[in-house]
Amino acid sequence: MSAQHNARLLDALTSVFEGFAFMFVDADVDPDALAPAPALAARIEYTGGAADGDLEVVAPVAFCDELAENILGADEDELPADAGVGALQEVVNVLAGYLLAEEYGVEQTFDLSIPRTRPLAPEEWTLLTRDDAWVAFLVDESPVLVRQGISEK
Amino acid sequence: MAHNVLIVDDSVIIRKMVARTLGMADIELGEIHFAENGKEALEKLDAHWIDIVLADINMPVMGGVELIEEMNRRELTATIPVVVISTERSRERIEALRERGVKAYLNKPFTPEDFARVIKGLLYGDSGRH
Repeated sequence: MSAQHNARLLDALTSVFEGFAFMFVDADVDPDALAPAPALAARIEYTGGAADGDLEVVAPVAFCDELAENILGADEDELPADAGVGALQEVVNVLAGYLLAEEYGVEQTFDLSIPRTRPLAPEEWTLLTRDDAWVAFLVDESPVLVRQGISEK
Repeated sequence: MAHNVLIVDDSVIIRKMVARTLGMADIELGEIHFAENGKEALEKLDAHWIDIVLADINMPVMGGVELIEEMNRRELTATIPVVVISTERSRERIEALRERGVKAYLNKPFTPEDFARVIKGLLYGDSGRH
């Protein structure tokens, strides 16, 4: 992925995490921070006049729960069931809307799918951190991996 | 006067977040009702007096656009103000929503200040006073 693409991802992640959950994003990721952990992957697909593609965000389960706590301003014991899953789905949803508007402008119309999540084993996490398609960020010191697939028309 | 609100979103996180933000917005609130999609929202509208609807667009079963169109067809719900809260940024789509009578549009993520300004503007007029 190009430096320009990574900068756009950083800008979008910063806006979404700060606006949603008051969490801060850093692109300077120490490889030690990418230790494998049980994680969740949230994916959304988009289709439109300018491009089709998908966006995936992967984050440790513990981070997703913390994200939900921050979004709701609630303690862990007050959270609804699967709050972490819902929080990550919402992040990928909002991030997709933000990125598409930044990349193609508001004159382009896209259809977004309903976001879906799946659990990710620590071994798969390790594979993703070695894959150039994925960009790593730190959000409140927790690793978050992002991949955007674009097929321009 | 206390206002009854219907929050329509398939994400429980967003439903709770919107309810929490409403609680901080200095609005005299009555009942807050929740629905996961447009179909469930129509059932809530049949069963309760609702003063304002806050709805997402992209939802399974029945989305926000179908909900608004159905509300417009029904005499008792056609005049209830609808605020759309969505990730949708397409100018064409937002204009189409306004043509269907949507009173305001908020992009996620929104600030509590933007949220309060929009909702109070609709409930109390532009001054936001009540």
